[in-house]
Amino acid sequence: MVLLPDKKLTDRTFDQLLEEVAEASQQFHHSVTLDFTEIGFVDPYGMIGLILLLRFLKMSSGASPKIILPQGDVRSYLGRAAFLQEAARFADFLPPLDQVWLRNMKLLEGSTPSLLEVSLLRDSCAIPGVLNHVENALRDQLAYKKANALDICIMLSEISHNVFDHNEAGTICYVAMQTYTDRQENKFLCVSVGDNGVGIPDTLRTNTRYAHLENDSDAIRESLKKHVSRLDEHTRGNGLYHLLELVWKHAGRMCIRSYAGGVYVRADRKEERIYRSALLPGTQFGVSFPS
Amino acid sequence: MNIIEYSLGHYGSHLWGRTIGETVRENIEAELSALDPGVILAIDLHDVEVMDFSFASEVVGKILSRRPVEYSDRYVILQGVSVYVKENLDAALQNLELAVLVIRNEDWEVIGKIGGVDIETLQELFEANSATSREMAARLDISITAVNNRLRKLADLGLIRKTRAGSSGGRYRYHWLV
Repeated sequence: MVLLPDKKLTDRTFDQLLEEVAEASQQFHHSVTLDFTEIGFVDPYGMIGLILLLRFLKMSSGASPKIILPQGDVRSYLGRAAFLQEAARFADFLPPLDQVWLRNMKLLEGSTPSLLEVSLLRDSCAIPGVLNHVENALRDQLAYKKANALDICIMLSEISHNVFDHNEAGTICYVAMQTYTDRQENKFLCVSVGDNGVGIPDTLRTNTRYAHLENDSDAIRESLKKHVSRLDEHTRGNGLYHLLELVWKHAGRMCIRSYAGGVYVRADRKEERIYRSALLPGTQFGVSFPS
Repeated sequence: MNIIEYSLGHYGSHLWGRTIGETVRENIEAELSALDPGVILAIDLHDVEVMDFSFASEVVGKILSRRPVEYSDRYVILQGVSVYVKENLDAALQNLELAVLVIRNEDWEVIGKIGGVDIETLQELFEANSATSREMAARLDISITAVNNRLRKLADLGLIRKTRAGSSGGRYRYHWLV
């Protein structure tokens, strides 16, 4: 049984959960039961990270992990955000969820309607539709100015297209977006993209110029610089650099986890740190902005 | 001056991703190849509301970086660029160390990697309409060597061109023009 190390599952706490699951499952070789009864808050990064983790656990151990869900508002929110529906493909809920309730979740309105519920993208053709939804949600529901809404769309476009540009066919990608209000009544927007691909470090190391970057975190940090790409083309290698510039422009923060590495950047406090993550295949981006 | 327009809006108002960009670029390059020497291709962005950096790099970046080698006697400018698109295009071109002339009504500007002296040289040439190196040196009050360095740089960026304008004393005279 793995208890949540923190009542919040976000870009700041997901890696703690990852470490505990890695240890309990003996590096994902055995299935586990995750006790989420005490969970109080899950952001898009936490939802997508968890889905990728559940998927990997099921594939590695051959058995579906089990999740003891919270009751009340948090469970309803996870249903409205389409997290439960997607997680149900890889995990068993305890007690089992009513399928009718699960199917009808999307129709219910709650105190936190989902801006972009957890969405599965199987190829790049699906991206424009998601971006259109995101732009409309930001402008219509949150009264974002067009330029700011399009900046968010550009970020999502760069990250999502990278998944399919740098991975083989069959790689999947999840996207989700939500807005929150913290205890100090500050509103912020969270966007997350996660995939089960090759990962930034190994992708970058296919270019001999970066083969020396043994540490995954160093490789991720390198990928955020200008002209850094697995391809030696003059017009490549600036996508993530531009992404970082947009994060700074909007005083946001960004977390990138890929395989065993992670980079966390916070523009409002000019904070940057790299960290080591438990090895989970794929890449996750989490970007948050004051809304 | 012969200008052919090519509308990017045909591909949509929201231009996302390098894959789509590759198709668009190939179409534009086919158009460029078919142009007569000296013709200017004006890529029209009137109906474009947004393009991501990958699309901008793939289309505008690659075309501009290939132009000096593959289409050296054809020129590319942009027109109808919104303030928002200009901001992101500028960022993309700055990082690629490229620049392009942007026309809006009767006015012009250059976006991308270009310094103060380059703008100054361009402005003088624009006012002169066309000029020899010697004339430009006099206008800018700098040496012939210095002005030729500036003009060559602007020519490599595809912002100006050199045309033969007769001969004098057995030597060809060249005029520079925007």
